[in-house]
Amino acid sequence: MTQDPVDVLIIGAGASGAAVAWSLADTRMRILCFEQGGMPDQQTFPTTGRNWEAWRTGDFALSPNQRGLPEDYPINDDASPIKVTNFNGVGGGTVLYGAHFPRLHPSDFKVRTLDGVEDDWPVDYQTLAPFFAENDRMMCVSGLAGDQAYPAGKAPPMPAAPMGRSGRKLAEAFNARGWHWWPCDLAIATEDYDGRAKCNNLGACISGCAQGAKGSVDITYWPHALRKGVELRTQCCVREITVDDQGMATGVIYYDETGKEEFQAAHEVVMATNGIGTPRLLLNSTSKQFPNGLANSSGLVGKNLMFHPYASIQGVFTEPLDGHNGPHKSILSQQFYETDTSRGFVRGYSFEISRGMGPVAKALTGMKWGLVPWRADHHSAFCGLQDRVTSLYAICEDLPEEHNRVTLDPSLTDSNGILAPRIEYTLSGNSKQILAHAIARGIEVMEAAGAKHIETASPIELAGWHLLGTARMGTEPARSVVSEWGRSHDVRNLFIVDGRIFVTSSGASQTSTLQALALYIAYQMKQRLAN
Amino acid sequence: MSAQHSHSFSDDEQTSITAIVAQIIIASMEFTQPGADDSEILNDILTSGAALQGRLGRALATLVDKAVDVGQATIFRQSFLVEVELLQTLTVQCYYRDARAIQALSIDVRPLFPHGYIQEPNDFSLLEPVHMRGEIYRKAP
Repeated sequence: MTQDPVDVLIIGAGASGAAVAWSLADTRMRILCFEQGGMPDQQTFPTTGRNWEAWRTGDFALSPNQRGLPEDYPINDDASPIKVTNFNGVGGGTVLYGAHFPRLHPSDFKVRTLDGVEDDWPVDYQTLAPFFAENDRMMCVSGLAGDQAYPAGKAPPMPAAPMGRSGRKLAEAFNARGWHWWPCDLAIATEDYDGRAKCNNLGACISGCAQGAKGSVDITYWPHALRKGVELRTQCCVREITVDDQGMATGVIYYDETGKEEFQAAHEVVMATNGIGTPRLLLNSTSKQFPNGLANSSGLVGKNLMFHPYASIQGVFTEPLDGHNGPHKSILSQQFYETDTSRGFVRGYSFEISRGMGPVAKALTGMKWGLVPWRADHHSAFCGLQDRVTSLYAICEDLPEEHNRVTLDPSLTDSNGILAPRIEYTLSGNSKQILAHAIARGIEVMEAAGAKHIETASPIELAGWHLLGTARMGTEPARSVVSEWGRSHDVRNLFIVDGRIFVTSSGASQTSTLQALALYIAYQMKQRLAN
Repeated sequence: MSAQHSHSFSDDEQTSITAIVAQIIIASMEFTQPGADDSEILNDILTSGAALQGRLGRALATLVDKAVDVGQATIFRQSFLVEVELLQTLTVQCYYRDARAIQALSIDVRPLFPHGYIQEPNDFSLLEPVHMRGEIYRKAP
């Protein structure tokens, strides 16, 4: 059955799809969004039950392969040391993210000019600045103005979330080393706002926020977008984007909530389906005009996959800190963010400080570290860890390499029989050097803070949160998939709006920037198309 | 002690699990903590772990008719790494949701939501040295 054509069809209701939907709703265009998952129900989130730690390993597990829900497509990531984490549903990854909300730095957009590596972005920090601010307001970002790791003008609309004892402990250590630190910008409401209650320090942000204080887009952008007339259809899994003889997108073939195959016609198609889902859908959309996948004349669809490799430096302290209570992140340090070639690598990383763990994670981690034995000493050893563990995470810049890529697995499929993605990824020498540097500096900080025991890991395996670069933006069609405003070089009515179009990854979490970029692209679409 | 619940473990397997979980977390008078072989916790382990029966069965069979002491438990741990990790995770998940175990740790026996927790206010005087160092970002052309 063919549905009436819509002006704009957005695929994916996550961080960027929601922002684009809300922004485009300023026009008179008919806008429809397909989401393959459902609308999250905060009353079912793990923190509503005493069994929250076990619960988060089931339907709220970070890995789609572990969750295995009908809306989750499997991912063959056997050939990658970093495994993909995501959430398929309205809100996308923001439902399970830590809400850390740093922006990229001005230098991130000029890596070729400043460091002689890769390509400069076709947009810059100043261009995105008004969209950063607009997004901060919509996502309700808390933080503290005046961070000298950024240009003046970054002023989070909400007061900073509590740093907690662990944040203070590490802040003192950064001061002792003479290194930068700052309270984290967080998409967490610290005051009642927009019908949402302020944060009450539940902790466990990455299991979904039952309080509704965390800015996931199902409760920030989407209520506003729906009120402005955007239509959102859940449980709709898109199989392919169709094109006409002129190579223009005509719509999508999808499976509805009953599994029935349908066609939806659209004048413009916007993809907001993450760095794995986007190349998967493009590569599954083959036709006479595009035998190697849609929008792939450059051959770059799926290539240049970047994660943010993470290292962890965890310390055990003698005095009680926070435990798991409070926002997941407290402070960050960008002392080693900008390139300093004397370190032996280009680009850099941020340190993010996280609070402690719940009892189950603490016991299992203690067992893994050999600090919590079986039998007689279990209880005394456990008490030695209770509320006494805190963590530094280094989020490292990963430069693009074409051999790091997403392809289609020849046999693995999802519940609708659509071919699933396969990832091939190796850490570059530069990334390894960044990770090693971060661990060495992290140990210094933990020692300065007085940690009596330190454990490190690199790269963290289940930390493929940020899936970047697989449909990069640029001005040259031979070297990029989309233009400086997200439009496919090959298919003039096809747009890609999220982190997949990042040229480089930066050393900071992505959500703030990918949403600002999505708002910028929506603004450009309104200026160029809607009028 | 044989738990009477809907699970798929045989009597022999229940006996083996009981013996092993007692090795993982032992009862403690000093810490006023139950052991993981406490009947309520054990029932939780057997019920919650029912789906693991197929993956644990071969390992558990090696313990039948054996007195599981520290030495036997050590051999078991060394011989069945994957199975032991599964059993250890299951045991810890069930143990640290038992109200008595949680209370003994002075943790409130309640879900995190809706009451949440209080955090101390921020002290931004700590930022003075950071302010004094000035800008650290690179200006882009």
